[in-house]
Amino acid sequence: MASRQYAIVGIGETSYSRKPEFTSRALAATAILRAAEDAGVAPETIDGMLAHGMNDTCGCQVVAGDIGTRLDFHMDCLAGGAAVEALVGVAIGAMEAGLCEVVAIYRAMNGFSQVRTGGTTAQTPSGPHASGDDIHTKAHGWSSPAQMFAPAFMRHMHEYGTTSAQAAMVKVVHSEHAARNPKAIYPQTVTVDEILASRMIAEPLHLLDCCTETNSGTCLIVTALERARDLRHPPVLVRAAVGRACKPGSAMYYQYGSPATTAGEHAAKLLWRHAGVLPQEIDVTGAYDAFTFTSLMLLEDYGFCAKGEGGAYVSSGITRLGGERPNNTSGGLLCEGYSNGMNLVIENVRQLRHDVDDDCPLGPDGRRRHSHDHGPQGRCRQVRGAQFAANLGWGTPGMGSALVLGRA
Amino acid sequence: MMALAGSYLGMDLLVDDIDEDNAAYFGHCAAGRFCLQSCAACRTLRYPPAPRCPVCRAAESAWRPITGAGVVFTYTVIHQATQPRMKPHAPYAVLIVELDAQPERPLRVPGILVDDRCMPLRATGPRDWGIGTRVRMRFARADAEDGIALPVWSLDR
Repeated sequence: MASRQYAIVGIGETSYSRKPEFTSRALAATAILRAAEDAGVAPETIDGMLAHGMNDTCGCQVVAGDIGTRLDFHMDCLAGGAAVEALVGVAIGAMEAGLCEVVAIYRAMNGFSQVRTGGTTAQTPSGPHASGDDIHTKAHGWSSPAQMFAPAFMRHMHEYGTTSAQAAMVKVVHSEHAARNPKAIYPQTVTVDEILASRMIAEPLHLLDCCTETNSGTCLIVTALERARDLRHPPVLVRAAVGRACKPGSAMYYQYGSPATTAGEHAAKLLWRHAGVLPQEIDVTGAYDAFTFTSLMLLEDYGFCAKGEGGAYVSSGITRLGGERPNNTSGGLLCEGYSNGMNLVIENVRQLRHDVDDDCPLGPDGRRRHSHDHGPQGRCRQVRGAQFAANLGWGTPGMGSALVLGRA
Repeated sequence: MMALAGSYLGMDLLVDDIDEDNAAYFGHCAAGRFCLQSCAACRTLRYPPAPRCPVCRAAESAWRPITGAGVVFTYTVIHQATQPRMKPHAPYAVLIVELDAQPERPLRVPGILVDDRCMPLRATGPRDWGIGTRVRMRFARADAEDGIALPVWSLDR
């Protein structure tokens, strides 16, 4: 482990939108400048940058120039899901090695208006343009994330008796959370029946089992804890990070063992050993909900319930605001917007600051006066007294990342 | 490095940097044979084609004919095709089939479920197949100058 402790000190985001308004370059600059302002650091103190994308974003050197800083360290990483948690760990490693002192991690994407997750774009509407092992998948008309991951969920249903109605509860709960989030692209609550009646995309995934692709820029600023104490918000300590841990042969996630179990089974061992807390002590989770099933499987594999009991767990009320351990209180990727997961970490940083940006009234000091009313009419999404949060990232069923955060 | 080009179901296939292991694999498929690499040192079969044995790391291997038969391990039925040329065939099933060969270290081969004419089976109406159903491999010949055929699956009855 690191010799110093590190904290997330700044968070920044643009709107989550389906309008083609800004370039990924402009989205990146806006998100970073908002995160710097949120942290209370001058943009020129950012001397490290980490960006990730799938050939759909703007690189660090251009963006650093746009925000007027000079970098001592940067990396542009080819990665989509399960990147943000890993990059928090990479940022800590870079600072431990003396490469830089203040790192901005960003994801900027026009996920709706430009490159879509199926690999199609306005410029190249057809596929497949296959290379290497792609021909074993794309040539079978099998390429988008929904299509690729659906067999893992099908196997989970077969092995554990998980039902579509149980998975749908993930979306139901997250939609209730989104209804308290002015930023959410889908603030309407939905029912299990509505989800099951929505058209089928790739069995067992219905349309409303899938998140919505959006255009957004998001940013985290990470620095050493001793530096963090002088900044604007209470620092949020990074207690543990796991970066893109894999199952054997994970390039084809279905080859080894059961695809009903994710790489979380491996990542969890590292995560809880380093975090110094147990799953039962976590107050709020951010389990990647690109699909309803992804949250359900990750919560199992990181030990929030027994393996195979994810369907019961997400249907029990535990993951709801007011429940024992709410999940994705912003509405998540399903309802707030899709940013490859950085918005799920941003939400948990706000939870640990006790400063979630819901509809509760602002006090004279500019901070919200949270009602903690999580009833049907309540407008609050702050978890009372949250001390520890976990983010569980999904790359594929065979690869994942995770973070445990806590109040310093 | 070489390139393979062709079309399947009217869908352009371009593999612009195929490696020699995959080129050999699809070459066997084009000749109507299902072959996998068997490690020269420990005899382990591997899929997908790869330059080394994942068990003992040896580079040498021999192509061995394998019976293209197994059971459906898991699957999806795709109702919304991403690739425009697949849209007329939806809903179609992509099966992940666990081969009968080498049960101690399973080999799982994905492919479309096809009908008697080797065209994607339209997965509408009641189904008499699912996880555990026995299937047999066939080859859907791609219309290809260099000769590609894709392994596909049909119900074994």
